[in-house]
Amino acid sequence: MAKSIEWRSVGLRLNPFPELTPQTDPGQIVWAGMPKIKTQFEDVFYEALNSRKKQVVLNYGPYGGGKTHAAMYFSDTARLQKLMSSDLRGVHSIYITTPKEGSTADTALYLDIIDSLGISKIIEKTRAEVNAIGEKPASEALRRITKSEEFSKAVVLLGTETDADKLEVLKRYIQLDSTKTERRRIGINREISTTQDKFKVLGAILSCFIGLKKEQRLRDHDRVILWIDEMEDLIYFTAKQYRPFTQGIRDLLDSVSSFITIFMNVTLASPEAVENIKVLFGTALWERISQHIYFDELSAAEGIRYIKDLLKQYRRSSSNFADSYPFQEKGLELLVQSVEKRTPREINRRCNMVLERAAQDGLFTHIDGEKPPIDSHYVKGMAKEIGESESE
Amino acid sequence: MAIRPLCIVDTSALMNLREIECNNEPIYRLLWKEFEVRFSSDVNGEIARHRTQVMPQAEECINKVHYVKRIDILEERLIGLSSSSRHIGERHNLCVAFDLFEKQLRHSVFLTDDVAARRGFIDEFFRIFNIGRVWSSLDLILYLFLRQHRVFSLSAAENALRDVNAHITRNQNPQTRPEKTAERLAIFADYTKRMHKLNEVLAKLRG
Repeated sequence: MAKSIEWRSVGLRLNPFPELTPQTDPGQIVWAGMPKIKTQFEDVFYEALNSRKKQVVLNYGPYGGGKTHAAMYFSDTARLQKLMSSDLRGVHSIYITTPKEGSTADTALYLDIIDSLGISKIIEKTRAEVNAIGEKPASEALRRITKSEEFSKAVVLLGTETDADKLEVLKRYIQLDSTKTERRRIGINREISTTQDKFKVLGAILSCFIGLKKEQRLRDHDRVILWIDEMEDLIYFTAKQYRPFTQGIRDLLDSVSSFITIFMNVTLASPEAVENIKVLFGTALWERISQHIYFDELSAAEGIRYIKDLLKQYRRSSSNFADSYPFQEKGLELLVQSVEKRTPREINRRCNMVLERAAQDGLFTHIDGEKPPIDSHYVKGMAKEIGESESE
Repeated sequence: MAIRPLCIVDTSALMNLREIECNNEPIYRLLWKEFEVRFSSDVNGEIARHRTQVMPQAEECINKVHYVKRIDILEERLIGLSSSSRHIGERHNLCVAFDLFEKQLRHSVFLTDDVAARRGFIDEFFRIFNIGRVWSSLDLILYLFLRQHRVFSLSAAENALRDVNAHITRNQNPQTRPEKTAERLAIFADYTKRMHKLNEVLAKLRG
């Protein structure tokens, strides 16, 4: 979309209206408009980064409402550190989507989290924890979490093993790719096989990131922030796939007592349908949710603010165009009013269409900084055209 | 024994019910028990093609096939000409339902999970010919829970709803159809809530 536009000619650095959140460096992602939602997130993060409290947050709203965008935006460590006023040791964000294939959902989720943390980082953090509190206390702490001697032993070994070959086997073990002979070589008798096994080991690994010290001082611990996107896809799981998966998430929540935040994103048609999430999650998981954030569709005024905010953030520093440029104020108002489902994605899509067409029609050929080229008349014509094409 | 209600069963429903058990038996046996089940010979052929351990076996099906004389002519008169073999099982099942109504004056439950066939012609047929009602497998689960709640527990029935719902959507792509996902979620939640309501009432009735 909008590839043919020379953004520089309209005083912009890049296309401000991507239809999907780019999966790039979270630091490059901008937040536009929606101040209430942003404040709600900042409040959650303020508490997360300045206390030990466990948080389970349900984010829900329409498709394209900004849930994934929020996950990306707030996954930026530098951005989060600005909200930190305590001596919390660090923060780790993990973003995963709900696996699409129910029969292998537990494995996919487990491996996605391991992959997101990075096996080298897992070894580094485990090593630091075992060194900090000692092998025996670490082993005891991990045993309490995993309720398994073998799994706690395996995680401790990640932090103590010095033999390079054995460490390679341990890495494969954690990545569910070891043979029985290899496991025997490292002295581990139990495979990570069932759903419960995977969540137990995950609990242990996340606890190593959080910190194993019994004292709950912030300076001894990191915070882990886990985003699970597209949880509405649980609807595609059979009971046999659903039960262990949700049980695993509950076990994970219960095994890590503090310094963890879990955001669960669910796409929902209307705010009234929140009751459906309760049915989808089941009472046990639902009751663990500590906070809700609803991504409502934007009002016309909020939509205008959103667009202006985006334009501002992508505006070239050298340009002194008006904040709605290349739209005239009336044109912008009309554009926003003509969007039926006023989500950020839908607004971006409409802006893209108008800009693309304006470029094709040569509206950006002779730029007049004083007079934005896209006026209400132009938007009205396009809105009619879009309405006709979408109703076909 | 009292006359059981008549149920015209489609392959799509049997496929979606195939993993569900009640008292260590496939759920379709409860369906067999609660209803006088009938289907067309085309559906019988489809069942044979999809036969697994948990689909009804040939000997369980043979006496459920209802043969309609000159079915093609009846089909054409009832539903209109179809140039393709698409939905042939459902089309012939409609003829079965009509034939049984004509001969025995019996209304039927028309069980199908084929949403496209329902939208295409089944719902319209039953709107015009008021000779029964269309159920999905989710409706059947609710009914079996009502009838057999002593052996078909609430949690087993809830699991059954989840399974059927997942199977109904197995060809959907959740990535590209978010509105479909929301729709399925709403349907699933609706049936689950109805089941809980039913359970509450049953508990009161039992005192």
